[in-house]
Amino acid sequence: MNITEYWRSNKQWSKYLGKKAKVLAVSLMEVAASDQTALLPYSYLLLDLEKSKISLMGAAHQEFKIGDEVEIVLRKIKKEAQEEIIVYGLKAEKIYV
Amino acid sequence: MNIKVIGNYIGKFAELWEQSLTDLIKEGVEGVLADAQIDPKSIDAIFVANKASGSFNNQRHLGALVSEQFAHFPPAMRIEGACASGGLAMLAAEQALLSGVYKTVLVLGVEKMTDVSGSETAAILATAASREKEYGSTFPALYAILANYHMNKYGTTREQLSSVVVKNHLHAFDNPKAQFHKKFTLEDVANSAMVASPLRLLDCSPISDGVAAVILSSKPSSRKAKILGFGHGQDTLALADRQDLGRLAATEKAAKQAFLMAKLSQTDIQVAEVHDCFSIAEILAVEDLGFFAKGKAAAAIAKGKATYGGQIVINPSGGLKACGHPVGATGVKQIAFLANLIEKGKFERVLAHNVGGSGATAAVNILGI
Repeated sequence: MNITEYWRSNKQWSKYLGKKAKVLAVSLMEVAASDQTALLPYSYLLLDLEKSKISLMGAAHQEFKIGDEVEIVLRKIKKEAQEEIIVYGLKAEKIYV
Repeated sequence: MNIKVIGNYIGKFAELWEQSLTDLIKEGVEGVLADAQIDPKSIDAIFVANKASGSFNNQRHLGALVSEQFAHFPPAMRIEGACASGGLAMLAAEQALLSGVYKTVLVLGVEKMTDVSGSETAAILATAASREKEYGSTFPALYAILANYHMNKYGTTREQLSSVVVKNHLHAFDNPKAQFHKKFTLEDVANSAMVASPLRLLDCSPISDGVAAVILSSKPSSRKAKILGFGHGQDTLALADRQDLGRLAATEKAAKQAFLMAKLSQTDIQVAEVHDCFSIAEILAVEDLGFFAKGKAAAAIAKGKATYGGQIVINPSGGLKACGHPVGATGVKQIAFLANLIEKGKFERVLAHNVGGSGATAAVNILGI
């Protein structure tokens, strides 16, 4: 993700931040592309937002399963930042009840 | 439709350290011309299938690279549709022949993947996913999502996923061009390293180098293998935009078109090469192609219904899983392998199914005598 892509993606954050969703499908990734290897292991989730769906990385090293309730939050999505920016993006965080 | 496969060639699929991209192209051109036994000048046009030579090898403009193998420099173009590049190149060639503009064309698929690191390869392959909507994913992760959904909805089990792998590695023993000639047990697969749960290392097709080529012609020929029908389906690039994650709609659309054109039904097909980039992908493919009912294929494969002596033979070459998956070559290899089976008189009605990305693109070809 370069700096212009990052700037464009920022504009989508407000649409999803704070939204609650339900896990439709989940995978715990043990191998990742070079941008994310330092974040391993992490979950990759398909979330149901009722009127639409979204795919996101799971926050921290939380364990997810189908049906879990999550909240969409802002977290680092790439460890090694290029061009002196810290790359934040949307992730899903489990809601514990 | 009167299009015949008058030449076919598959190079060894493997980690080919000593061969460059250009070496593979030369091998493919020479091999298929030798099989077809035609004057190279009779090639009217070339369709080159390749996913990512610009990223893997810093080489774009592949049409010119293949054309210059011929003294008469036939017109050439590269077709890209991720892992379905080979299937799409076939469709483009078939449409060109049907238009009457050309009479004889070469379709060559090639990919040289092993000159970069594993994580770079994962990043390059992931460019076939939606960059904006699937950031952080990999291809194993996307198919893992499909597997997780299928397991939850239809009760597909770990053992059934493993049975796809065991079968295809067994089939590869009959294919000297296959990357792997190694038998695995259900336990081997279930105990292999986790890549993206529930998919393990042995659920995944390998990283491969390779070339495959066919020559198609609308001129009269004594060769047996004929194109009977073809189809092309598309769906959303991102999984999150799909209506139903339990099926690949692009495969269903492509199959419907191909069967309609061929005037055949699923029960007419004796053998199929399907896109098993991951174990779950073969299960989805044989359901969406209509060979098995939705939710029933995994159990059927585990019971031996997709191998010799069963209902249909799926992936006799070993599939992507055991024969190897040099991405751009795969769809062409499927056609070359099946055409060769027809030439040898082993089968009369066969199908090839090639998928791009996590199912956004699908190409189906039906061949027969």
